[in-house]
Amino acid sequence: MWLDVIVSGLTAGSLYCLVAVGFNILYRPTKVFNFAQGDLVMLGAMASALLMTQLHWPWLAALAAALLAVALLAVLEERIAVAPVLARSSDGTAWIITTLAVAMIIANLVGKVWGADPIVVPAPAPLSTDVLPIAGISVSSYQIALVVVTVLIVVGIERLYRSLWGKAALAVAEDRDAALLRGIDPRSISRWSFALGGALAALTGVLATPVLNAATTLGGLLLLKGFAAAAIGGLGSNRGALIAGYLIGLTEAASALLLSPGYHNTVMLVLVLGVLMVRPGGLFSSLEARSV
Amino acid sequence: MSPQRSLASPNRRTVLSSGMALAGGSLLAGAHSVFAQTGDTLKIGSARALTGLVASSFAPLYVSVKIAVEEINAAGGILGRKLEIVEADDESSPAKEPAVVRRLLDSGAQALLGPVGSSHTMAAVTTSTAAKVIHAGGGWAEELADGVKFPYHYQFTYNTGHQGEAIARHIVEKLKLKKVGILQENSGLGESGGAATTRSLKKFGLEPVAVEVYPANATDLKVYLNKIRAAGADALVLWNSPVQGMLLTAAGLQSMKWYPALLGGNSLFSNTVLETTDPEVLKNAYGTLIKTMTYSDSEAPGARQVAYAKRVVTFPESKFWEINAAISPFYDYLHLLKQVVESEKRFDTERIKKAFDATKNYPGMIGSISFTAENHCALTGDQMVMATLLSGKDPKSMHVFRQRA
Repeated sequence: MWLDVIVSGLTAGSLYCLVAVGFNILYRPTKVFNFAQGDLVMLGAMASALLMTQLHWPWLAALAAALLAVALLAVLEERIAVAPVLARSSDGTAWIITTLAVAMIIANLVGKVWGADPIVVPAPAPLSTDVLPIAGISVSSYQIALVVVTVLIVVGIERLYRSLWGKAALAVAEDRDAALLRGIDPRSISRWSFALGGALAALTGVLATPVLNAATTLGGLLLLKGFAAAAIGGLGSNRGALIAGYLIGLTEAASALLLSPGYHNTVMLVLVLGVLMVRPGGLFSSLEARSV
Repeated sequence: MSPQRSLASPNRRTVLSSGMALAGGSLLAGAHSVFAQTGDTLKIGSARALTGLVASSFAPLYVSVKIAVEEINAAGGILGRKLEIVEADDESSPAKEPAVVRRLLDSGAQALLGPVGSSHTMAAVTTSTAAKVIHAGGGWAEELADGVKFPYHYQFTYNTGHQGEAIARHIVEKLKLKKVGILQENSGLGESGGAATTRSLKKFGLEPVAVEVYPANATDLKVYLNKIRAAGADALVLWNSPVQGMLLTAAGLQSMKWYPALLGGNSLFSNTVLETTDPEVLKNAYGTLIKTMTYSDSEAPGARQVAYAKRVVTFPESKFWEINAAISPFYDYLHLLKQVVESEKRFDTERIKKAFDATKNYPGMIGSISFTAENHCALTGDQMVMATLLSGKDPKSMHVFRQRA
């Protein structure tokens, strides 16, 4: 039974990690938590599911279309709901309301368009969600691929931040005004970060569908735990998000096995509180106290 | 800017702000009439989700309102006054229900229907009770049938108590199984359904071998299913409201290659479940259903129910959830309201309440309807049966009916 807990924890943890990395990509250059991030994940899942099941598009084509559509939507969100707020004050907090408003608008619209019934999407061939007993562990080829792809995505994004664009994004994250003085356009970095974050949200949604199905509730389901992974890992740290995502997934699965019914979400929140009490910036935070 | 110029060509800001004010004004105007009639009408307030996450999934339950209003108005209305439905949007949020009910009453509604969902109805019924208005909500919680607590609210459907009875009866008398595991969602419905099943099993001298509660945002149910299997269960009772719970359960059972008898509420009848679940899981799976909406090898559904079902499936909003559209509580509510008001010869809330409370064996679409002053649930436990999930593929089902197990 414990082996099942590990498989279940790693599968869910991969998805939490990807949501957390999406938060980080947007947070680094803008210091904005995108409260509509969960809805972008849901839109990616629903769009690809409809293309695959209704229009019978191949998996890769549906993935590409979903990535593009959600990336464009995220850029639109940045233009309408974030950029005007940051233009007034880069330290302002009005983005809390504006990104929440975007989330509410999306939630209202999808409720009119799609029903609550999930859309079941098979895993892309040659992968399958059929369980294979490997060395006493019941795991599917899709679950193995999900974990591997998650690690590769995190490594890829970390490498991206070592490129010229990535360094510019980190410079903006460090000091928006100083970066501007060095010839970096923070608005362009913000736009591209939202495009990348939107595309990653869509990818998360597409990857989640074979295990969680495509449903309008998917965003809310992953948002809180993804946010918890970002907080535990340390805001802005993708390696932290990876480890924290798996920590939350495994804790959640283990608590389902060990604890009285109904306390599983509480355990996750206690874990967040516990980590933040010991390390307020999260496990891998680069935040340091500054003497001024 | 000169006054003349201002009058001649309003600037862009003025135009935009006026447009937004108009759009906002129309959105915030509150309750609005649908199926509006000219002349003197009898207004019925309808609380429903027109926007938000549950808007399209709850829409099928309001098809019955359209059918009933059409039939009643074609027959001359109530006391010669046409029925007019006034709708207000709860935005899929239970927290909005008290304000929605208030808005409907302010718009002149004399009786209320909706919203759908136990938690939504619970939130609405406190306001309608305080206002002393006849009300039929779309909730299944047992508490909503308490005529002492909510004297003006009537449950024109079954509740989780009846479902628990039907499930326990089927496990013990038909399947002859004794080891029952319960998997329930951590929600009002899960708690109420799990408790009702345990209570009914006790009447047969059984205790569940395991009760597992999963969070509504669970991503995998295999750990819970493993614990139930380890406890030795040969029947699994699932209490979930969204279909996702059933899909995750089916995926877990399939991956474990464990196929116990699977029993649950009517969310198991979803077309998505039928089309995508492993046939091995469905082979021994049953959901609770009102007897009038079922058939057997020797007994077809009633002619009246068949005609009604044919009508229900013509509405686009019924698609995918025809069964929920057909068992909606509002059709019988509106027809009984017409009968009672016309026999009283006036629309008097206290007289209607008294007549509703005295209703015995009214031949409703969903079954034989009776109320007392204390019990405001229309149906009794013996009117609930278990039906097979696989019969949804049978042409005889017409997407609405299911075969009795």
